[in-house]
Amino acid sequence: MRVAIIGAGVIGLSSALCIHEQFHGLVPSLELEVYADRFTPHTTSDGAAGLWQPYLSDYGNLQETLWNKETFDYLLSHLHSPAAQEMGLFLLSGYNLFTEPVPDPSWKNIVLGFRNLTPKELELFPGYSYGWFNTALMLEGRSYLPWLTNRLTQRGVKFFHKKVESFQEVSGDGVDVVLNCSGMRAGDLQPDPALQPGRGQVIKVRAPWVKHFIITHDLKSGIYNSPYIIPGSELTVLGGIYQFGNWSEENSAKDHKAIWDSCCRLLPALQKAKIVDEWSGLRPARPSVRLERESICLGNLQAEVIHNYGHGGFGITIHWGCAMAAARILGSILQEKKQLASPPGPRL
Amino acid sequence: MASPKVAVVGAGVIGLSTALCITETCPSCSVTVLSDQFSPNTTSDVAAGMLIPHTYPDTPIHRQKQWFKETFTYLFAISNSAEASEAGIHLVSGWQVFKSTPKEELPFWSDLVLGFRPMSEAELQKFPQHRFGQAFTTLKCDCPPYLLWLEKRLKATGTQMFTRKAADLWDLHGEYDIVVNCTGMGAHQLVGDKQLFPVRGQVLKVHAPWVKHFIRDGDGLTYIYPGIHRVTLGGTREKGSWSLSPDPGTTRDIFHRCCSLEPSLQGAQGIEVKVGLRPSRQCVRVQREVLSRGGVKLPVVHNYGHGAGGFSVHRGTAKEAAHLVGECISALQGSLSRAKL
Repeated sequence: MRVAIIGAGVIGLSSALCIHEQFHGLVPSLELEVYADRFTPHTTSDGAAGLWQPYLSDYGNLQETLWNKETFDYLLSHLHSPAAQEMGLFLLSGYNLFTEPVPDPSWKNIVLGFRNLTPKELELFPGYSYGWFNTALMLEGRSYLPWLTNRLTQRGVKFFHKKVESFQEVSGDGVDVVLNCSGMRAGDLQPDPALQPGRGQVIKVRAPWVKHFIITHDLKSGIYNSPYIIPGSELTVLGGIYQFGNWSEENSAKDHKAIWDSCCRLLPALQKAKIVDEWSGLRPARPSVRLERESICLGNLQAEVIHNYGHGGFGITIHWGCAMAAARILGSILQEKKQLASPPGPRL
Repeated sequence: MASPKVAVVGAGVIGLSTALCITETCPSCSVTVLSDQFSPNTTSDVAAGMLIPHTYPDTPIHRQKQWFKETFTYLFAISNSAEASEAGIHLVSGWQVFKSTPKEELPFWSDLVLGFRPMSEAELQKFPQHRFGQAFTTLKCDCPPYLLWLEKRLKATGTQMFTRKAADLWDLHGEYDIVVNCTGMGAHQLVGDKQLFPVRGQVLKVHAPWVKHFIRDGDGLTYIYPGIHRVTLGGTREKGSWSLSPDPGTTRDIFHRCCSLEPSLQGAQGIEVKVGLRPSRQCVRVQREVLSRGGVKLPVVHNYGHGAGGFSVHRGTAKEAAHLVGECISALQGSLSRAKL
């Protein structure tokens, strides 16, 4: 039973690990293979700061809120494990800032210690009159992806550095199930007009005195188009760019200036911070995550594809919930193929 | 008296901040800082510099609250400015946790720090041995940066600083009109204050940059305070111990206690061990005195005995001491004009 995972970002690697953890004992013939044209540190997941935080509204998509919660709870349970540091996992508190009162987010009871900001705290942020404080988690892609890769390698999962041009390419080769975690370039495998780039750019600086995330919101310009500051374990990420439909992965001088000026206005001490790196990436934006099974007819062969892409700017936030959902779909497929007597473990 | 000459003895956080306040309230004064130690070799350099007040048994609470409020307000403004990183001042959030519910659920300073509230059940799950906790955001003064920043501000006002050990306050008479005694633990010998006693503290400074929150056990003995580059792990409170040598058994014990609170510290690197003697007293001595010897008078302002709470109240006590210096100057000018009659 061969399962091919296309994509080695946070979605591909975590789905692979989740599947291997759940099924390798039950399906002795299970073989997992990961195909990707980019591996860490060159994936979209590596550029992200790694903060667990969903968008302000789930737009009624309760399934995604549940996947977010599953991810947070899973990560929280690993916080005190010896692996936490290697995973790049740690607690981080901070501020979400608004220019007007807003409804509480879908995730207020998922994070720790969620509350409104006091007037004295708002004095720190002139121009903002309302906000939240909460404790969330950081999962740095630069550490998490290598950690996932190591766990998968230990489990005998094979990695192939190639750009897969079609599902047939892997399924025709004897692969039984394809897990499509190709993120931004899913459209190359199967056209999907709903999937569009949400281009972001970030500046990484050395500012070790910053101990909180600060995320501002401009309800008119939309998510991530307002400055944000997220301190990592080594570098602090400055951002605030979200350009829908822009496919460029080149750093823009105009965006650099917008990020730098707005973040320095937010935190004047940043003016003294040393710029270490700059990066642009494409958030794989979609009205909702595509997480579903598709049977594809290829000549006289039928291939099972499990799609798991379109996580926009919340891939890290939602990844484990989606990995488990993908694993459940695989479980159904394995049952049908009589590889499994019954589903493994309780349904979530 | 055109330009009163003021000597401030001591160059820790108390000496430097007091000197700075004097230059602010008395611009015509000529201020000189004298100390046998400067940063990074002062007691202040060992401390984490967290703004979490220590309660002095014999100082009225309203006075301690005023000192803390002035200090917090002053540092809050710096943390919000472009100078924050140079001054070493930054905001930090975290938790104070208790194994048993404290008698006083609300400390006197709870409305002065930011966002003070009891921890939720979910938050307490991170601390299985603790049953109650408080979450809040406060400020931290990293040393040496903060002391170096104070020194820089002082130099800009024309204040001079000299390495010099004063064996006796009277050594300074003649050179200076007023002496300000900010000698911390040194006051034990310098002015023979037997109410002043050391409380030895050993700390570890480690590299663990993923630790972004402070964690403090309400008993005050175990704490984790993340600074700009290093995390301070503590500690001990050894009353009456004068030893400045690090103790290896204590180092292991501190590390073990802190890892219980924050398991990820197991991966901490580069452990540096430091020892400081908290200059402890039942109340902070902020007081004016006129020493007299053979018909000669020497006005002295004392500002020492801050124990475990130096950083938390430094600006407030510095301002009070500067005010007392002003009173000394008025008294001197009064006696000068009387002398002329």
